[in-house]
Amino acid sequence: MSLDHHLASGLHKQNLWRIPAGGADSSLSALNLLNLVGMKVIGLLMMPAGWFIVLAAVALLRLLSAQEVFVAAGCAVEILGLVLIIRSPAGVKGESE
Amino acid sequence: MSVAPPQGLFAVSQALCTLFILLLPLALAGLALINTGLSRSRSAAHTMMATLCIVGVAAAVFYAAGFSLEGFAALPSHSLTLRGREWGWVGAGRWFMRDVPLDGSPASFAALLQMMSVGLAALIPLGAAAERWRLGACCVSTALFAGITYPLFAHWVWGAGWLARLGMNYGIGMGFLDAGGSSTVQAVGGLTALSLVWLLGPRRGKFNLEGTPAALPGHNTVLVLFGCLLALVGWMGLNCAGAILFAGVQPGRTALVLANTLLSAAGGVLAAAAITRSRFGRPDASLSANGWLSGLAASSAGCAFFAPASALIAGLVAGALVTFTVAWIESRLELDDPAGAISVHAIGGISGILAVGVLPFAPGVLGGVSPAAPGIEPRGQFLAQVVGVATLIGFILPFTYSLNWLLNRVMPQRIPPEEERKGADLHELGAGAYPEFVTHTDEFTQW
Repeated sequence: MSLDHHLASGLHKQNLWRIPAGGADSSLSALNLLNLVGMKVIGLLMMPAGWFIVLAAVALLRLLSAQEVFVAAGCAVEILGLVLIIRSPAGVKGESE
Repeated sequence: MSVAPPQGLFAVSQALCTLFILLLPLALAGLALINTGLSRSRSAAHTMMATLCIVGVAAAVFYAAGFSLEGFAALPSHSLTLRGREWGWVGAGRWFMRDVPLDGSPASFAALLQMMSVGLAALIPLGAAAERWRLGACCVSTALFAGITYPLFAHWVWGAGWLARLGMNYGIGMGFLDAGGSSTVQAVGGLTALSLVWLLGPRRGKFNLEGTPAALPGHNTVLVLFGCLLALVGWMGLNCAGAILFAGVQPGRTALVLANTLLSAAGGVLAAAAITRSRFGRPDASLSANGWLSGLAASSAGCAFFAPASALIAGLVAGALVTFTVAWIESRLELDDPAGAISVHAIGGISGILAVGVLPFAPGVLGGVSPAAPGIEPRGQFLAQVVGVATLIGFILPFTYSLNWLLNRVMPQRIPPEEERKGADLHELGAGAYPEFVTHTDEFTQW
């Protein structure tokens, strides 16, 4: 939404939308595809892994400062997983494309 | 220390709960109008029809199974005991709400409130997946959402689960605080929207091969802005009922909740209008609508606790965030989210959750106790809120993605590309929303 109005009203300068989306990655080799899907799976697994670090910090540590450090570490792992999914083209293009 | 739901309700609280819950359908109507107005006219009837189906399926599934998994403070639950502390994981109620007599008890009002709020949460993904989500798949996906995802997280927050007891069990602030559903409704819905956008991919013609986004503007800005006004009334009902039922707020304190909700929405729209004015030379109507909704989403967590100035600040932050994240999600991440649902509900909701750990509370709330009170570590409340956000991103997002991925394998969720070009109305319903008034010219999507 939102940006669409600006794009339509000419504020966006790149008027290239007549080229259809999808079907562009046919040159991907099977190995590349495996890597791309692998990135996405690893990203998906890293998010719960980070969450388990957060849970462990809450359940096992007593000092608030130690909890904060480990919760921050868990959040960092989650964000890394999220970034992996986002950076994976297989994650962005969509399963159904 | 933790926030406890009330054990019983006086008549005035029962009357107020009934009144506030009656306002909730206006939030559904508002979100439906916003989603419809921001989609193209060729899919308008489909979006409204999907709204009715989603609300219907969500209420039925939540009645049949969802509430038994969610539970409530006084109802049985399955829990683990770790080092002498109970971790409530999931409710252990009977199916079809057989252990909840609808007699005016807090549990009965909580069940009634959530039969509607689960529909509100399930409508959020529709805005992101509009114009390309099959009606049948959207019903099954909603059933999974209302039967599993939503109740699970809502149990942890509102059903005396482990997040709510972080304060009591581990002395982390007062436990995870969310009176009106910034996490349970907004963030869970927004993250489900993100997973669906990942699965479905963008609408045809949205991005070119270089990833440059195309303009596919919504068809009716008036619907969008009117939807925002309706949503405000519905949100006031949601926040007030939630504050009474899940945070134990006294009836007189609902004046604070109402003021906070309005101020947060005001902050959101003013921030969005000012930022778009400075960036683009004029205020953007649809981004301002996003800011308004984002302010509402952010208001829910702290509506019962915030001082009014805090609510205004939370709204300003959420409204500012939404203007940048909508553009970032679209142009940098190449995700097609027609209604901006990910920015508004996931990011706006999360900003509201974190605001509870940072911004000052109103004097006298929670019996005069606040995270900054003597004896309570001020950093603890922020940590509790961060643990809640980590749970949303680390568990709910992969979980809801996996559920929808599995569903997509069994039942493809996306409308076939050629049918998408004709519009979801013709493909799914056999007729358009505006047969006599609108001609599709493919002005923006020629190929």
